[in-house]
Order: sequence, then C-alpha cells, then structure tokens
Amino acid sequence: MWYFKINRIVIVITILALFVGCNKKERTCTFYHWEQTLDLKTDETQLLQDFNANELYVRIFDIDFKDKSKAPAFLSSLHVKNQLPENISVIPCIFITNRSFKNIDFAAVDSLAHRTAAHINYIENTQDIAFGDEIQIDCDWTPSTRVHYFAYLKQLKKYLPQFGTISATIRLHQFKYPEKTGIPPVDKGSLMVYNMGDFEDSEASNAIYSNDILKQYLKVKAPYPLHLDIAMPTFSWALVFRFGKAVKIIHHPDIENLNSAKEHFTKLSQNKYKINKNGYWQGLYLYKGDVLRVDRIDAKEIEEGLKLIRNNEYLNPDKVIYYHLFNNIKQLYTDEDFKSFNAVIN
Amino acid sequence: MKILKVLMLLLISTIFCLPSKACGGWEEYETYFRLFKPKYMIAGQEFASITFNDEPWSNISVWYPQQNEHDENLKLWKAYFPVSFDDQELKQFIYKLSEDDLKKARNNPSQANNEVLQWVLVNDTQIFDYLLFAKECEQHCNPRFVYYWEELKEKDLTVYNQVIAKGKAMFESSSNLFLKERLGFQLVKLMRHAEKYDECLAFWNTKLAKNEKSIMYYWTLDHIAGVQIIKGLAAEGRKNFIEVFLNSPGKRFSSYCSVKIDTDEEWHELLNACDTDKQKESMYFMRASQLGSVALADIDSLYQINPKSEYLPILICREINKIESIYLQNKEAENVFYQLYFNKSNINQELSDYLQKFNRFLSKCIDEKQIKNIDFWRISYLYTNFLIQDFDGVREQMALLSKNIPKAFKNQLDIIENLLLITDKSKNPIQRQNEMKSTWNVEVKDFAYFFMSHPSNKLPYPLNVDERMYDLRTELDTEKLKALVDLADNQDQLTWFAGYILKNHFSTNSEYLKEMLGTSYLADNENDLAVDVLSELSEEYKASSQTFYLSANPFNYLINDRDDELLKPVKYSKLKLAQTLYAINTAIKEERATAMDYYLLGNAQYNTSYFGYAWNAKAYYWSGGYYTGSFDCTDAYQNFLKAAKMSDDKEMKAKCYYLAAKANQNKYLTDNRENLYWKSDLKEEDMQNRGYRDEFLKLKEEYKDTEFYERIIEECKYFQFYVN
Repeated sequence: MWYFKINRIVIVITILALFVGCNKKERTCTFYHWEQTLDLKTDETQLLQDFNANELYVRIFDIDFKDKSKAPAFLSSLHVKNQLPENISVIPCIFITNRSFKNIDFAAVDSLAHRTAAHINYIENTQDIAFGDEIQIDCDWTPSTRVHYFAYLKQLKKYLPQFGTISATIRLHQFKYPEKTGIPPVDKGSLMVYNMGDFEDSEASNAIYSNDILKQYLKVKAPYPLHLDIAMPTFSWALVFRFGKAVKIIHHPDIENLNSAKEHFTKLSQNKYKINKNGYWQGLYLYKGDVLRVDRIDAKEIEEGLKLIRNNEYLNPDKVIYYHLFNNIKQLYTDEDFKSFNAVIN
Repeated sequence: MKILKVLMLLLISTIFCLPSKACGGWEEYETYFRLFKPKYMIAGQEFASITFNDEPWSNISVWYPQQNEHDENLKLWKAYFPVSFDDQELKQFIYKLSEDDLKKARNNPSQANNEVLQWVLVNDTQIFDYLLFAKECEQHCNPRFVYYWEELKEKDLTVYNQVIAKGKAMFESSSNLFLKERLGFQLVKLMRHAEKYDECLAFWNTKLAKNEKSIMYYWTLDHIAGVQIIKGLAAEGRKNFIEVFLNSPGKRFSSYCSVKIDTDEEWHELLNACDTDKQKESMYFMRASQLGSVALADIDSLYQINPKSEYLPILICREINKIESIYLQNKEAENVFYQLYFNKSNINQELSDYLQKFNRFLSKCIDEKQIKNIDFWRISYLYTNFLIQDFDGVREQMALLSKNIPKAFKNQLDIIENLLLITDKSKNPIQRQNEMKSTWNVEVKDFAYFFMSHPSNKLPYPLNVDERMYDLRTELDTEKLKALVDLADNQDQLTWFAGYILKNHFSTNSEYLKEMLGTSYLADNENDLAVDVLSELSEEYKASSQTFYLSANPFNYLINDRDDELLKPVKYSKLKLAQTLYAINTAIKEERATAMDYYLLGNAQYNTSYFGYAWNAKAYYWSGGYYTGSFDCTDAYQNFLKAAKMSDDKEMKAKCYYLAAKANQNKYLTDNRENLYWKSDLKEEDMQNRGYRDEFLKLKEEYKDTEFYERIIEECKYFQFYVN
C-alpha cells in the first residue's frame, strides 16, 4: 500500500511543479535582422547562441509606393549570402510604407496581398531559406490608411495559410490610443519601444529612446486587445546638425573613430562632436562647424525600460526582440549587458 | 433591396449636403520668405531644378526627366532623315511601335499606319533592321512590366550571346555612320547587362572610343563609365560620368547621381584624374549642389579654377536661398533678421557668421574684377548686405550698377527697394506705410505684412494679427469683427498699407463684416446687439447675400436631424431670428414666458447648434472633422425640460422630453468629444448607464399612451433601442 501512497505523492508533486513551471514561463530573447544581405558574422551568431535564440526576425523586403509606376512595388529584397545555423528559424518581416496604402482601392489591396504572398514564396524558394510559423508586417498606419492596411492584413492571412501566426508591429501611440488608431486584425503584435524623440531638437539627449517618455505611454487603463511582445532598441545613429537644424542621419556611427580622429572631431560633450574641417566620413560630406550627436542608449537605461515593461500590469510579453542585429553590435553592448537584459525581463 | 435603396438615398443626400457646409478655407504658406528670386537672377532654365526648388535644402529629385532624353534623341533622328516628319509620327516610330508591329509591317507594308515606318520600308531598310534590333535589345536591358510586382527573369546568357553576335555582325557590315554608332550603343548596353564587362570595355576601346564625340557617343560613355566603376576603375568611371554630365543634357541627371564619392581619397583621386578645368569645376558644382550642402568653400574653389564659371551664379542663388530659409523664417521667434532688427538679439550666430563670410566672399570677387556679369554679383552682394542689415551698403552698391541692366535684374532690384523702404529707420511707420504705395511690389507682401505687424509699426488691430478672413469665417471672433467694422467704416483714416491689408486679408465691405458681426453676436447669445447690427444692413445687401437668410424656420423640430428635406423651405433671416430670440428672452427675464416660449427657444438653440439644420445661423463653417460653431446643447436641453414641466398638454410634454433626450444625447457626444467624434456607432449602453437619455425612460414609462410616442417608436432608432 505504501507503494501507492508514494506514487500519489509523486503525482501531486509533479502536477504542482508543472503548475509552478507554467506560471513562471521564461521569456525568450532574439533579434531583428534589418540588412539587405543576410551574412551573419561570428559575433552575431555567438549572440544568438548566448540567447539560446531559436528564431530570428528577418526583413525580407520592403513595399513602397513608386511615383513612376503609380503603384506599390517590392524593394530591397533579401539576399542570403550565408545560411543561418540550422536551429534558427526565420520569421520573415515585411516593411510597408504608409503611403503604399494611400490612393488605392480594395481591389488593389487584395491584389497587393496576393502578390506579397507570392513574393514571400519567391524569396523563400530563390534564397534557399526556410521560414518558420510566423510572419510579421511592419507599417506605421494612420487614420487615412487604416482601413486599407487592415484589409490587406486580412487578405494576407488568407493567402498565406502556411503561416500559423501573423503579427504586426505596434507603435507606442497605437498602443496608448487603440480606440483612435484601431487594432490590426492579426494574431499578435510587437510593441516598438523606440523612435520616441524629436529629431529637430538639437538640445535633446537622444531621439531614439527615453524611459520618461516610455512611462507616459505605458500609463494605460486596459490591456491592449492583442498579445504583445516587445521590440527594444539596440542600435545607434548620429544626427548631423547644421546651423542648428538636423539635416542627416548616419547609421551605425563609428564611435571609436570619432573619439580617436582628433584632427577631424572635437568632443563637445558625452555624445556630441564638432567637425573641425570639411571632409567625407562614413560616405557623407561633413562641413566644418557641423555637430554630430550620437544617439545611443545606455545599457542601464535599457534595463530600466525592461523593468518598466516587466512591472506593467497590462504587458506580459513572451519575448523581447532587439532591434537590431548588426556586425558591430558588440561595440555598443557587451555580452554582460545582454545577460543583464535577459535577467531583468525574466 | 429596400435597405439598398435607403443606402443609395443616404449616399446621394450626403453628396448634396456636403458642399453647403464646406465654406471654411485654408491657404498654403512657405515656411520662410524667399525674396531673392532665381527666376530674375538666372537667365535660362538649364539648372532650374537646382535654383528654383521651393526647398533649397532638399536634394534634386526631378532634373531632366525622361522627356529630355527623348527630345535629345528625337533631334538626332530628325537630322538624319532627308525628309521632314511630324514629331508625333516620329515619336511613335521610335518609342511606341512594338517589335510585333514592326514585323507585321515588314510582312505587309500596306498596313503600316505610321508615315515614318512607311517611308523607311521603301527607302531605308537598314533603319528598319536597326530599330527591330534595338527593340530586341530593349527587351533584355529595360524589360517593361505589365504589372508592377513582376519579377525580373533570370538572365539567359545564351540568348544574350546570340543577340550580341547578331549586333556585332550588323555593326561590322554597316557603312551608315548614324546607325553604326547606335548599334555600338546597343551593343555596349547589352554587354553591360550581360555582365560581360571586359568584352564591353574592349569593344569600346577598339571600335568606339575614337569616334566623333556626338550625343550618341556620350550615351554610350554613360554605360562605359558604369562598367569602369564595376571593374575598379573608379576615378576613370566617375570622370566619364562628368563628361556625360557636361555634354548630354538628356543623361545629366543620371550622371549627376552616378558621380557618388564616399571618401576624401576618392575625391582627390578623381580631382587628379580630371583632364580639364571644366571637369574640375563640375566636381565642385556637383558637391556644392548636394542635399544640405554648406557650399561656400566649394564655390570658392570653383572661383579659383574659373571666376567666370557658369556654375557660380547658380550656386550663389542657391546658397542665398538656403540662408534665407533659416534667416527669414515666417515665425517671429525664429526669424533671425526680425530678432536682430527689433530685439538686437542674434538667435543664430553660426548662420550669421556664415552669412558674413559669404558676403565678404562676394565683395572680394567684385573687387578682383575677374568675374562675368558684374551686375549679378553686385545685386547678390547688396542683397546679402540687406540681410546683415547694412542698409547703407545696399544703397552704395545700387549706385554702382550698370545703367542698362536687364529687366529681370530690375525686378529683383524693385523687390530690394521695397525692402529698404519697409525697414527704413529714418522714417516713421506711418510715413513708410503711406510711401509703400508708390514703390509697391506684390512679391514682398508677405514679408511686409510680417515685418509691419511688429507693435512699433503701429498697424491697427486686428490687421496686425496673423489671421485672414477665412480664419474668422472658420471661427468667429466678436472683438476682431467689431474692430474690422470700425476700420471699414473709417477707411479714409487708414494708411495706404493698412488699407491694403484690410482689403486683401479681410474685407473693406462694411455690410459683409456687419453680417459676420451679427452672426457672431447670435453665437454669443447677444441677441439685442445682433438685432442692432443686422438692422443696419441694406435691402440690396440682404438680397445679394448668400448667408443672411436661412433656408428654413429654425423654431421647428425634427425627429431625425437628417430629415431637413421635410421642412418647409422659407427664407428666414438672421435678423428675424435675433428679434424672435430677443423677444422670448425678454419674456423669460420678465417671468411671463410660457411652456411654448421655452419649447421654441429650445428648438432654436438646438437647430442652430452644430447638430441642427440651421447651424449656419451662428457659424460660416461646418467641419466633418471636429465640432464647429455652437455645439453645446445644455441650454436647449434645460429649456426643453422647463417646457415639459410647465406644459399641461401630455402630447406637448412627450415631445419636449423626447427633444430633451435628443439634446442630452448630443451632450454625451460633446462632453466626450476627444474619444467619440470618429465613432460611427453610439455607445448606447454607456450613454444609458450615465443617464444621458433618462428622458427616454420617462417617455417609455409615463407617455406610452400618447400619439407622439407611437410616432417616435416608428421613426427613432435610438428610442427603439431604449424601449426594446
């Protein structure tokens, strides 16, 4: 009889353990890949391994309205130079400009969805890349395009039965005011927690991210009607200010070079540099007197932001997706930083 | 089917209703004052995309579109034929006829419906063969998609090789030089697309490079330059793109974009590779005209190479416009000139320093006397003197101009003379405002208005407020309208400029303004004042006005606000409305008002609100995007309740409670307008729970036995919701 008693205890403990385990589901972390060529370097694959990431969100093409053809067109399609490790599943992402949905009718929306599906299949076949079960659409829709964009999403789901999940990016203002902006007809969303600041403001510390602004957006009174994962920024850019106005953006500025090439740059403050003489830098011609403001987010700020998200009663992400994976990402954030991020969100 | 008909009727009625409500307006403004005009300073349109751009900081997006390329080609074809053809026929022959059309015509020449094609088939079959070959090449190099989503097909090198071999044979056998250079062009293009770069360069070097430098030569060089860059001969390739830029207007934009330099090393390498000063000038010109450039250093380098360069005036105009775009912003707080002039504060020292440097550069060039067209330089220089507020310097330079300057320059000087008068510190503002009549140039009007609006210039209120008549039509303002009526009645006391602003920004028609003032009083519930001012309108004005009369009596009620076609059409004047409202309000004040008075007052208040059919009694603009005019239905609601309480007639009571509920429903919308304007469906339950339509409940419980109840249960879906 003791045998049966012990068996019962084991079963009860197992069930309890399962319950406890279910409640404390570990949040996964992964990245967006937003370059046109998929050719991960050692640092990048190492990061994915460190995260135990088994998926990567990969932009596979853009859709933009072309003035010449007066219609939306597929642009910058992905070129796979090197295959991903086998354990990584690719979640294809498509960026669609808002203007693609202006001045078109429902027939064109349906046609666009149909052709998008065909183009996704085309990329999968020609680039020898296998897509996972999810697809993500990225579009900053507005009231005037909402109806067409949402119709497009519905049609896309119809034309892409092989994907179990269609997700969409959600901007912070869309999260905060769902009644005004509408809720896209998808299975889930990725809340984009970046691009918060004012480009024009030369006095601002950065235009990518601010926890103070995030706090304002997270003050909501009800959960967003879709499940939301989180897209966090891990990139930097340099804004070029000329006569006090922002005139250009330099992506992935070489910060080491800014600090070392003292004949070209004078460091004005933690993230501002003055140009000492006219010349080319990272493909742009800069002028003496220009001010470069390097916008990058301190690891501590990201941790703080992740805490805000973790503690928000209406957010319960399954995963955090960092935007984005690129060759020199470790110049910005160390392995330790990423470990800390992972620890905070869990 | 019935639903469809109702929907159609609703749609049609909406279409007819909308224009009557859309009487507000808007106007586009530039964000800065552009007073230095390239259209006067630069003769010719060759570089118009650089100089005439509205936004001088932006990149050049439209420069020599495809049309120019076609025109360039057309000229060559016209020169080739010994007979003259109509341009359209020639264009159709070159660009529109398909490969199939050509083949059909060859098999059956009598069916060729293009006169060039007919001529060629009889007189010059080599041309026919060439065109057929060119169409075949086009299929490979510039495939035309029927649908925008079509994919590029994989290149089939075997087919390319066949076409190239065929082309080479034609090239070698042809003795026609016109065709030979075109065949060469097609072959180079084909080899480039087939990625046979070495063969392409070899063909160019052996067969084409030494040809006469015709337009077709440069079209071919355009492809060769691209191949050279791919093959690592970057400096040579870029230099050749500059040659194309210089010599082929049709390919100018593409070659401009192709000379892309990323590093200082690439720049110096190209500079060293240049064979001529013209090429070097072009390098500086291209860099100086790029997006967001600060071009003085490049302009100076260009000047050092060739002080007479034709690029200099273009870049100088563009640079002055760029400076204006920040220096002369149309907001007081951001306008550097305005802040310096009135407040002696420099809000953009960096730009001021640059302007000073630019000014000194122009002065130096004038002194060195190496330049071409000195009057251009002097006018540019004196305008920068104006910007830095060296007004004496402007006058000195003006005195040095040639006596017979071109008319276009005179137009620019006319603008500057106006600017000098507007900013003349030796004259008081009244004197300046009157003297402006004799020198007036309409191109300075926006700046003049902006500048003269400063309090020290004593422009009377509200002429000194940055508003126009359409602002007032969109949102009535009693104080401003009172002041405008006063100005219109006393125009003889205004300066010339004040009169100009009154006429152009507002109106000098006193009666028109008085009707607006009366309407504004009605919106303010100042009915006695409305009666006074509207009584002053002449019969002639009333008869001609399209807004003085309402189209129906606003004291009637509607169950559904959209059913205004049920109303009896009558011309009901705003004056009569004001008089009646005044009479009812007096009765209320004297405590002799009846239930009917309150009911009528409620109706008028409701119907003249945003929601009613007589909204135009108190406003000139109705927006479909937000609540305009009078939209608060609180008074109407209260008056319907009072009427219901005071009445002894059960039918009347039922009607009043119904109308009160309607008014209260609108209050629900306006109280929550931030969230609800764009909602197509009312939140019935929320409204009910928050008590916004309690009167429906009263109707349901206490007035079921009235005829009015029977009627609304049929006609009002909101009430139906409540009852059911």
